[in-house]
Amino acid sequence: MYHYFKNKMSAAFGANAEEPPEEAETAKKLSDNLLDNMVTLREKCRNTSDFMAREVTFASIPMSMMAMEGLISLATLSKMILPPLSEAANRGVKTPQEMYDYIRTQTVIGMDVNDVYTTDEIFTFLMSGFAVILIDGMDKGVAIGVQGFSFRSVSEPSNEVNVRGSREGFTEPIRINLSMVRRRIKSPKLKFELFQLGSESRTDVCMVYMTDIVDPKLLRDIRRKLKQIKLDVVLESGYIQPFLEGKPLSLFSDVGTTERPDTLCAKINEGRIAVLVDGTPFALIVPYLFSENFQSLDDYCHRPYYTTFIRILKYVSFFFTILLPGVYVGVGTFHPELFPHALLYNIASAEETTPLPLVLEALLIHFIYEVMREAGLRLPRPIGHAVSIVGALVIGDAAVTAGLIGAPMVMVVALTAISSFVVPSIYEPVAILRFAFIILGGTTGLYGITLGLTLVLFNMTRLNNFGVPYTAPISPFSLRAQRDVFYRAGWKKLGKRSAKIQHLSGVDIHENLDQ
Amino acid sequence: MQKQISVWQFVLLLYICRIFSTMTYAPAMGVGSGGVSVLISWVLSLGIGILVLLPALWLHSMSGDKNVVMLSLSVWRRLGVGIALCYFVYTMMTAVSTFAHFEFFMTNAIFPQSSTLFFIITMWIAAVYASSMGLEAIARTGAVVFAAFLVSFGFIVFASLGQVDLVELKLPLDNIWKEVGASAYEAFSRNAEFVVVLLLLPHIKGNLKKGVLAFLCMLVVTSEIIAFLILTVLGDYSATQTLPYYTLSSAAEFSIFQRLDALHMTVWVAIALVKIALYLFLSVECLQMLFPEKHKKAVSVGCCLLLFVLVLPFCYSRTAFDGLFRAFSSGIPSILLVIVFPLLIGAAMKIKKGRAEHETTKHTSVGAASAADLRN
Repeated sequence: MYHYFKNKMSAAFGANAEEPPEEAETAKKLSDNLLDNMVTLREKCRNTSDFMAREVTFASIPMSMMAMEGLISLATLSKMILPPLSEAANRGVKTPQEMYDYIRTQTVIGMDVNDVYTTDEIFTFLMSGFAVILIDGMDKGVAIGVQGFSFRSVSEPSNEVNVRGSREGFTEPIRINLSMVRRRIKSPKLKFELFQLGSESRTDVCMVYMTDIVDPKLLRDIRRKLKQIKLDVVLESGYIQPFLEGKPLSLFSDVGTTERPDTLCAKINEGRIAVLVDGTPFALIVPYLFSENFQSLDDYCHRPYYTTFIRILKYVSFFFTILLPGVYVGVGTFHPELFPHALLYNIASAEETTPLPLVLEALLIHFIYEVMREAGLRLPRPIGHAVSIVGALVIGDAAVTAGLIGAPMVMVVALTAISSFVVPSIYEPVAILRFAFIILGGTTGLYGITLGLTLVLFNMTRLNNFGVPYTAPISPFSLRAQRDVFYRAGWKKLGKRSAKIQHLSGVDIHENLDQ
Repeated sequence: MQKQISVWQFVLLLYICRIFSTMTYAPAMGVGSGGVSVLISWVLSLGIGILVLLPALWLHSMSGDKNVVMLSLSVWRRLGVGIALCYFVYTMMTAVSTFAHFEFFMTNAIFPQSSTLFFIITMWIAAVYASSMGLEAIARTGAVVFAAFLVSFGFIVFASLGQVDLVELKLPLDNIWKEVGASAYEAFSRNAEFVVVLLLLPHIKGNLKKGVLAFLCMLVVTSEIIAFLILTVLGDYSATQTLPYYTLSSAAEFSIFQRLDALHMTVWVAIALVKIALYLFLSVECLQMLFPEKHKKAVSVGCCLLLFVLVLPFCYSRTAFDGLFRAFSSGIPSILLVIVFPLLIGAAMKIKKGRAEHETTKHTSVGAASAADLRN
């Protein structure tokens, strides 16, 4: 009977029954017996091919050096760590304690040197590109930073292209990104608060802020929200973005993103907090305002009159891209009397030859456009160009000649598509709203569009994350803050007054303890 | 109570709500149909407005963190419940009246072939969502809608100026002051926003007196322009129209746009939504004060459903709609809620405070006498 149950249990748990219960023992304290420690560690790293461990003896003291292949620089290891250890005997090191003190205090074998007391800490450091040294006779080890993994070099950000200004964009390793920020703000008030998120991935996440500018309540609230995140893996800043967003559910996000270190520096200098995540070039910025989607670093390098022109262009393009197809369909279907007679005649004659009603025509053509946009985005570049050519044929003269859509609709789609790229940061809500307004315009005319637009406005004005209204300084209105919304004042004026986010009208930063 | 909106947001919100009614001004409907008498009466209504709001300002000076319903409940429990219900009924019926006006406009002027139920359902869903967003969102949206109204109003005024004919301004030959008085009284009685002032007092940050004055001045200026254009552009034809301002916008031609009625319609829809959402929010707030915290959600849902149920008869029956209009125009609800109740509550608070002070003095003197006795 005993063997029967034993076999059943083995069958039920399979091979895993023999696997070490890793979770329970990862935090095991180190013993002063090197052999015991190494047995435990090797047991944990069974089937882990990139784990490197080497038992060595320096000054007659048995030691073990460990690292993860690919995460460390072997050149740094052999130049910085091994020579001082070989010298240990000559420096009178005799006992394990003397060896430990020698490594910790009497040699410079690396800038980033830490003590480790548990197997859990050892793994954390190993996975972060440290080399760990365990000494026989010591119940603690030393972790030395010798990171040397390959990564994408610093390059121009693909989503935030500027005419003037820096060509540097964030890259994947968080340390490189931090250095890019530090190089731009050489102030001790700039703080990098590093911690780990993801119970499995243990991703480095860093809060970046200026101590004298950021609101302490805002800082506490964001820190608390970040530390409450319970995720197994954090592979991109988008994973933690929803945890920082406020209520209610909205198409628009009150958490901004940037790939540019200079933009990030400008934002934290206004009292915002940036969150950098290891492994992604996209940093998060909180709080974030709707009007910031229409700003770019170029705006502050150009002359104010030109920037003002560009700003107005962007706002007009935003309304064009979400409303134009819907209004065209709505007016064409329900209020044709609004068109001037000549235009109405042209539209009517174009639509006369098409088999579909205006609303279906608009939906179809926008759907095709979105399909081609998505295909062009995901495909390799050479094929992406081919998609563009096919797209030009499909949504173009061929479609009109085939009698599928009217020529004015092609114009509307083209104008809408181009306008959507003027403000790329809010493409997601724009694409959805465009479809919604086409349906509203086609079924209920201008009445439905107005109702829908007002509801979107209600939703946007309700977004009050961390006590900062998303629609500020437009509503609640602040005349002073308009110097950088619809127009941009010159630097002589901009530099005179504080641009801190907590000084905007309607802002009442408070700790949100209910989430 | 947390201060949520600035005084300027409050002013714009009141203005937007009031302008909804002003845009329905029709010379044929009111008592004061004598053209110039209406223009004079609206200037007069500025003074009436200031006088009428004095009790509200008095209450605010006594207890700035409570609104009229909270104060009535703190002064008398049972009578307070009755007063709270009065304010609830008034705000709910104002929402219903706005709804009915909106539906009447849509099915008569814009889409005569459309189903009434379609507008009721769509607007009801939108209003429920909008009111659930809270006062801050309503006020902020109101400010944006105000900007849209200004643009559309500017276009319509600019496009209509060329057609102004001053000959149409006729002075009534007799009873001018009677007409002016009747018209001013009607302007006061139809101004449900005086009640909003009383209910929103604790939510407002800033100088309320300045805000109220700005609201009344803005209102008078806009009303004067609207009435002036209707009278001088449309002339006698305006008396035959149910919605003369809409007719005015239809006649206005601007640049490539053949007519501006669609612009007026879009702004009207947005204003109606903001107004209904505000009054629904206020009615929910009035009723929630009578129930324990745990029933608050049920009260909100109940109020929203009640709005839908109440709207149906007023949208389908012209008699019920006219009856509601007459009830508001009688001025009795406004007199009760804006003047009588606040004065009564204020007086009761003064008496209560006096009594409390008297009791304290009595206790102190009794205590002092006892201490003196003990010493002796």
